[in-house]
Amino acid sequence: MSFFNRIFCLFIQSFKYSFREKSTFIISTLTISLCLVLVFLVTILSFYSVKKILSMDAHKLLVTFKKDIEDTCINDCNEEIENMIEIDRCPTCPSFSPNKLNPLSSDSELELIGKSRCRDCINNEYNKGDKIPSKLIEGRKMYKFICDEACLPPSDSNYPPYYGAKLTNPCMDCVDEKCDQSIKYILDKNSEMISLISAGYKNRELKNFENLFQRSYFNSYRGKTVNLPMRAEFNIDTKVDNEDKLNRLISDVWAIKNSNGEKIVESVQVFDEKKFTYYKSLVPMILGSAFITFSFAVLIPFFIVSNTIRLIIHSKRHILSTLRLLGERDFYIKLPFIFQGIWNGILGGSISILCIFILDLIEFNAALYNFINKTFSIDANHSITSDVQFIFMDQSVFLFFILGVSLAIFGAMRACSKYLD
Amino acid sequence: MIRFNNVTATYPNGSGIYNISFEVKKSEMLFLMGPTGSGKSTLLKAIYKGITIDSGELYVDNENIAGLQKAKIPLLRRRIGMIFQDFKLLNDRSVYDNIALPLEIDGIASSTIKDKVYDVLDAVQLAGKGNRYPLELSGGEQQRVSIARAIVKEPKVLLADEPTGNLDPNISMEILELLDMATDSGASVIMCTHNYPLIKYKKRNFLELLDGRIR
Repeated sequence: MSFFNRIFCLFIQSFKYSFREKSTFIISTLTISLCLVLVFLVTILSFYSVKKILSMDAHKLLVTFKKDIEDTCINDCNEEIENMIEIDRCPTCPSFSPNKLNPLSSDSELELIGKSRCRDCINNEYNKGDKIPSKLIEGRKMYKFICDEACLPPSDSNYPPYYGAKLTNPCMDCVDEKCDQSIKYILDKNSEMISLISAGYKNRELKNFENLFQRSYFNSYRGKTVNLPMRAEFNIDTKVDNEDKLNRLISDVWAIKNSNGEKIVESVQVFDEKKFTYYKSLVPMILGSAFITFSFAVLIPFFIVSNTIRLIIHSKRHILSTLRLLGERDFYIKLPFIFQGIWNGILGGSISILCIFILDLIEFNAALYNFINKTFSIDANHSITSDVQFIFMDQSVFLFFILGVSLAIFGAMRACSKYLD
Repeated sequence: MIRFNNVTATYPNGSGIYNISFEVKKSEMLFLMGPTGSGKSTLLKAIYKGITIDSGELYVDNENIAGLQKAKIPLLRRRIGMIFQDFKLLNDRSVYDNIALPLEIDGIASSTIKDKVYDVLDAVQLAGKGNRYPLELSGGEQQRVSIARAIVKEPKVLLADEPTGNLDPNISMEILELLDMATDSGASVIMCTHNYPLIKYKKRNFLELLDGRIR
């Protein structure tokens, strides 16, 4: 019998032998899978908690502008509003134009198909009798745009956010310009203390709202007009190194006026420094407890497999001594036990992947990242720090499978070296 | 074939065999006698390296195994056939599998194994019982399986440690005849026993041990 043939036979036989000690084998397999799931959840929880905390930046300033700065755009916006029906009061939202659905020579095949699909959908959905006036075709479609999915371009397309969208209009341009102007006023007077990170234009704020709360901003209870203020996010320079300087900066920013002498800032927010320091101090504790839990969760399957194999070795000691007397090499005597460990690991790892898959299916990941995002939140609106998001079933899951198999192999090897020799 | 030259092999507690010298040639059988604890089994252990040899030279098939490396012990054991009082059969394997085991360990092709196992089953009068399990057989039959397993690879050295210890006189005689057969076919056989009446009519060599020394 060739070497590889014999190894293969031993591998298959060891599976058969594993089931002769059914209860021990099942218990050790389930323990491995349970511990692997625990290791997985602990790793995910600690990794993303630390990631969330480390992504926080203490030196951030969030300025919310007054709604009044948009007042000068009233003419442009009213003109837009005139084209809308009552339920669509969003002059700064992307608007829809059927002309934009006309095929262009630069369009890819997918885009041509998409445009045609979008047009069909709009014709079907918006021209049904007199329920929805055909006028809507020229109006705003952000409010419950029924054909959102049908009109969605491929990810690499130059047509955001949907086919037929007009990205700008005079109202939107005017409002965005007011935001830029306000930022300029702030920077002119405080350029040494702060630098701009990002401007919160109208559309961005609407999008943020929708992403964060997973629902359209245009909800009936919010009223019929868009009143989300615009904002800007700034980095605070390291020169602002004590509370006095910070308070002075806040009052300076808050007091800024435009050329007409009107105040433009509604509110100024900074991170809660104490909370931030507290979170930072939690990092070693999170990592430490994760390490301890990880170690225990890893050691348990290791010793379980080791002791299971030890029991099997003990029950077969007479057979093993006979094999030795017949001249069997140690390698072939140990190998079946190592293989039993591998089977333990493979089955335990597979069950753990199945459990993780089920957890993913019931969206336990969402519960976990919402928990992390809410626990380690430094600002009430969740808009300054970036939220963490993750899925369970990615490639890293297989690392845990490999971990399970490795632990079982090492456990079996320990048993062999300790009890077989 | 087997030559002891002043061999001393002891256990940690000091018991063992001391200054043993004798020789067993090809096609010779040696009966090793002595009371329990006289060192008969230890002497056999020294041959298959179940105990470390402290001093002296021990030749098996012209090779001095006194200082044999641990890694080479399995190879030595493959050249030796062993029979024990308690048979040492694998009860979860059939008679056929038990007999085939030494050949499998030697890496012999399964077709050759089949032929050899059936031949030896005939020789020990167990033809037709290849599919039975050891616990389904009588003590005498189990010992025959044990002998079949020892002789199937045609070893040059055959060691039998009280092979008739658990058997009645008639069966014991049959076992002795099988060992005779192995001797006649060219093996050097050493058989330990304290059953003197069984072997006193045999025209073979005798060696008596007492307290680990040749008497």
